[in-house]
Amino acid sequence: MLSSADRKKFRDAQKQVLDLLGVPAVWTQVKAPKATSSVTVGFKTASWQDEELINAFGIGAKVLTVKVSDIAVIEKFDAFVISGERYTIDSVMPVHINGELVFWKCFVRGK
Amino acid sequence: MNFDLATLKIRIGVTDTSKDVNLTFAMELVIALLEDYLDRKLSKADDTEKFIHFAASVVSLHRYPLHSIASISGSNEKFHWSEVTGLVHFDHHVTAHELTVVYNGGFETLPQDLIFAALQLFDAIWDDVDGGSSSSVAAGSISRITLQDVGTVSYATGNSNAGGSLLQSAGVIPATVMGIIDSYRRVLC
Repeated sequence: MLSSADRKKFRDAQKQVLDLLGVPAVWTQVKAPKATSSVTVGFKTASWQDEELINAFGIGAKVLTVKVSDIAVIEKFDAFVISGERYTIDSVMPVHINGELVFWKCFVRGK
Repeated sequence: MNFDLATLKIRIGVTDTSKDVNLTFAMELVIALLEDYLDRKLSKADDTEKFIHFAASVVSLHRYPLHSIASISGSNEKFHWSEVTGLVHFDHHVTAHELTVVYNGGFETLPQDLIFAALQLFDAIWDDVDGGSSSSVAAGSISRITLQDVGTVSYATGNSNAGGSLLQSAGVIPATVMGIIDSYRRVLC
């Protein structure tokens, strides 16, 4: 297991990658209280290299990476609006660094 | 924000008391390193300084900002003192076999820039203080980090002296910290 200092170092570095390379998005909660939040998310379209993703979620599936510190809980059917396009979340997976939950991986179904 | 145990525990993401001993040591070590470099004492307290074979018109005290001078023994000369610089100015030149100054000085609360510098220095030493036994990662900067499905960021390699500073690090104190604390170095006269 990483030491606390190393874990913080890598966690902060990974968050910085997202801050630098991510895109602005508006999250909308589907359940009450239907909260919204402006966040920066990692945004990727599944390509030919993501065979398992395409098999699971279809051609053109999207992967959104969100910091847990920005949005504590993301559920299926929550949505993100990015550049006017609305993306509805089909599946949410946690991403840990050692035992600490740091990111959410949100999958948007393609065709 | 203060430079205290609670702040450091938040900084390293610890909520229990498992690191309290190491954190307290690291906190005291940071203050000691800063005080060594600045040649002054930072925390507010009563203090006594003796000057042997004193022959000057100005005394430079180590613990300032000065709050009060209780007594100066060894000379009857009138004096004035500067709260900010810690200097005691005698009206005339003083010679004394032993000059003793009893006073109260130091920061009640560290200024924000010193707190920031202390936190930076804490980051630099923490891994060594905590043992670093559970990680094979060097204590230096990360050169490249990849977040899957987002991208990769590569940082300019180099030591802690990078960042446009012309300063060299003073041992364990990074150059960036030195750039902040240099203005607090004790005035010598």
